[in-house]
Amino acid sequence: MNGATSVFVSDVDFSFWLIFIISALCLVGITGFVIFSIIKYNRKNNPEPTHIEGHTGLEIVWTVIPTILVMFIFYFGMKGFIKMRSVPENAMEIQVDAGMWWWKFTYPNGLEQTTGQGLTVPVDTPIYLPLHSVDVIHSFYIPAFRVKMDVVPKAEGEKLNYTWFEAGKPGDYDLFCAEYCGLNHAQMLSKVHVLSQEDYDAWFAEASKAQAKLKSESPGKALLISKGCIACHSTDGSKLIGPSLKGLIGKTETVLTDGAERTITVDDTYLRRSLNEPAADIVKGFQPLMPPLPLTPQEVDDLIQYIHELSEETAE
Amino acid sequence: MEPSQSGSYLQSHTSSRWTKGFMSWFMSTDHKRIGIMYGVSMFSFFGLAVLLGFFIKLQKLFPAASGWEIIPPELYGSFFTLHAVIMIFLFIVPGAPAILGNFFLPLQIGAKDVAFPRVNLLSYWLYLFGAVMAVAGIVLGGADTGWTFTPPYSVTTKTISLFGFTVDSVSWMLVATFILGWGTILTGINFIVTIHRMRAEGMTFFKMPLFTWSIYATSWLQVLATPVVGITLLMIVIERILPVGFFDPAKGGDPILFQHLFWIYSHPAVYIMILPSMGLISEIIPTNSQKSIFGYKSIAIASCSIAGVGYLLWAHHMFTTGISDFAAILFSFLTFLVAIPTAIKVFNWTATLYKGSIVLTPPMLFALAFIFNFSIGGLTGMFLGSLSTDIHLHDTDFVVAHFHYTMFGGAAFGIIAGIYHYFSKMFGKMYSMKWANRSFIFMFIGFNTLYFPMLILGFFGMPRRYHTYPDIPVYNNLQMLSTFGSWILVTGVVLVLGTWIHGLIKGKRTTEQNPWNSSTLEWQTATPPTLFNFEEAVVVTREPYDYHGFREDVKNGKAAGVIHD
Repeated sequence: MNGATSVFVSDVDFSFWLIFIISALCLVGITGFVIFSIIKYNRKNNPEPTHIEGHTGLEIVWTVIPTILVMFIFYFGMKGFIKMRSVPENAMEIQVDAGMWWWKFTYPNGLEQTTGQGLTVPVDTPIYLPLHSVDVIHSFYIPAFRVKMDVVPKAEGEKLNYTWFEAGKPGDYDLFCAEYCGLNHAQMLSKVHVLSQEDYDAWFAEASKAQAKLKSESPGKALLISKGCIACHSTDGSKLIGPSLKGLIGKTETVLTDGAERTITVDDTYLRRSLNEPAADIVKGFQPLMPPLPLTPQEVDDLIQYIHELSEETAE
Repeated sequence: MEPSQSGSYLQSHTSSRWTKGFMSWFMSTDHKRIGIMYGVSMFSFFGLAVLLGFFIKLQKLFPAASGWEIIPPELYGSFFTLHAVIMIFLFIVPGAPAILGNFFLPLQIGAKDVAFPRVNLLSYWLYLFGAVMAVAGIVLGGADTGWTFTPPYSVTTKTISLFGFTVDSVSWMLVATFILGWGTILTGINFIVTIHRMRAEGMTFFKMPLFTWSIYATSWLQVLATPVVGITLLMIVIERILPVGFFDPAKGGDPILFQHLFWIYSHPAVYIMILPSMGLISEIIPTNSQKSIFGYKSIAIASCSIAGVGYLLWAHHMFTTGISDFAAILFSFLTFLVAIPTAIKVFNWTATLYKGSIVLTPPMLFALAFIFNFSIGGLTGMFLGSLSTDIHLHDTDFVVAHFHYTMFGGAAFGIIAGIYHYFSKMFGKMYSMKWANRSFIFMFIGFNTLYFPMLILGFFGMPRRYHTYPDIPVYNNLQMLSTFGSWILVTGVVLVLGTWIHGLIKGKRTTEQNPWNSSTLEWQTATPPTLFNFEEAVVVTREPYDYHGFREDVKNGKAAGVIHD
């Protein structure tokens, strides 16, 4: 893999430096000529200008040469692009979900990884990534791999955007959202962890087991992670984008309903309404930012159950 | 009473009841007064947007990890949106045609006024109304959609109530932009008709100065492209207010459709922004070299080809949106085609200097800086037109730096150069050369210190529209350098505006017709011009940049290229 961080790096960087060298030469040439002229043909040195209206030969030269150069640049750019769009047959699929302001990576066996955990992949293995957005447009960007593709919300049944990569060197790399998606756009950061095949296998077995355990023991907590709730709602009492879930049951809150303030006590009915219609009641001091989530009644019950558990922990 | 023909246009000489003070300007149909009103309005908005830009850069001085926060994230979105909406829709798109085009287009072709003077005034009113509405909307309600209004975000974003008002500021701003569009379309039609119908005797198309050519190409773009964006923005308003889904996939729409429609306008708009400034550079360089422009016809034709090809490039803003691979390849190819006429222009300007008699006046300094900055802007465009490199650089600070090099270092430097060039003709007063030169030094150094680091930041993957950035040394150092640059640049902007205001109030009075010895027609009349521009009928006999003939005529005591009969 000649040490590059991903298979695209050599093509992209070749194009980049090719354009860079051509650009630098042009800029130095133009600027050099301007400076030369300012000195040589200054009014003091050259009070009488020479009458020149143009030179057809010269104009043909500086039309034809740039045309040839840009066609070369176009060709190499296209070559690298076609590679980015051609996913190898044997690629491993990891589904990417994005929402305000979280990432989720789902492996073929159902293992889910969140923003904080990051995307863990084996080295030298092509990874195919269908990109799904639950709300607005995000953009999946790993600078070190030269990979970027917008995560566009699609109508039911439409084909998802995709990208792929093959990492070449174990390590941790930044993963950014590159399309403005609101308040916490700049915090929609995650990591890609590239592991050797051996380490990856060990990690994968361990993580899958841990998730299965969590799902059976506390389905509510598992949902809280997999639905991305914890990006905005803390479980330790700290204030994020939305109210913390700690000690919520029985708490008295002032909420805005249809523009009017009222005081409520948090109970199951209130939580169910807030989960199904997030914009119905907005707790004072927060913005109406939570998107409606597609939740089954069972999932809503599991979440409410977990919020109860969090409140009981506080009571103890 | 017939309006008096002699006497400066700056004196009141209409017979209507709007003869004095503010109203003699606000109700004036004189293209020169309208041009100046645009100038005052636009540079006021420009100043506001520079201030916002200053805070945006200040916010990036240190990473969030250091606890640095000048603007909270809720406001940051509104700041960069307002900065861009003002700079693009209120300043750089209408700027050069509205200010200098209005003032000098009729003078350059020997006309008394534009073809439809009252429509011209209506355009200004529409501009002012739309501008105040857009700014008020964002200031009262906050809007963080960016100037690109990309749905579904722009459809779903809730407006933030800032001072106790709840305004649907996004819809408000979109309607304002729609109104601004009307002003632009009317100005475009006005200029096209003026150029076709009102040229002086002997002023054939290929005797027109290049600024007029560039305004001509721009006007066609304005007339044909602006309606597309008008309708598209109204579709967003409809989608926000009524339960229809053009662009929201949850309602069966397609957000990518919006981006196509938006860029079908907004890519040609890029050429609306740059072409008039290219025209100004084509005036300033021959004047200050006392030499014919190199390849007059190819520059005129290049203006029109840029305008034509400019329509066919829009999807190069969309390589990462998932458009078909074939479309991406085709649009990349077409993008490289537009590089060629652009390169030809730069080479022609540079070649004009060869064996000239160059004098570095303030407008000439800004014009040469235009060539430098715009070359960087154009060359960095190749990194973004090339497919594989665009995938990496798209939506990073590289793009932000690239378009500031073309729009600010290019277009805005061109407008500033133009105003320094024409200042005495417009006002009959002269600014301080010393302060004009100082303003140039701050602008040029500040500009490059601000934006060059952003090119490198983009290469290292720094995404744009980030309120803050990860605490990585390469980001920290370059962001800090860029912020230092913004301080120098803001000083430069203050010096430019200060030099002008000082020139207006305290500047030396002058009635010198042609202080730079320029060969084009707009200089061969009184300073400041009279109401109907030329005292007598104009007959044009010479090529616009025939400095050889012009200098002969001046030696022989004849006025340049104009026969008064």
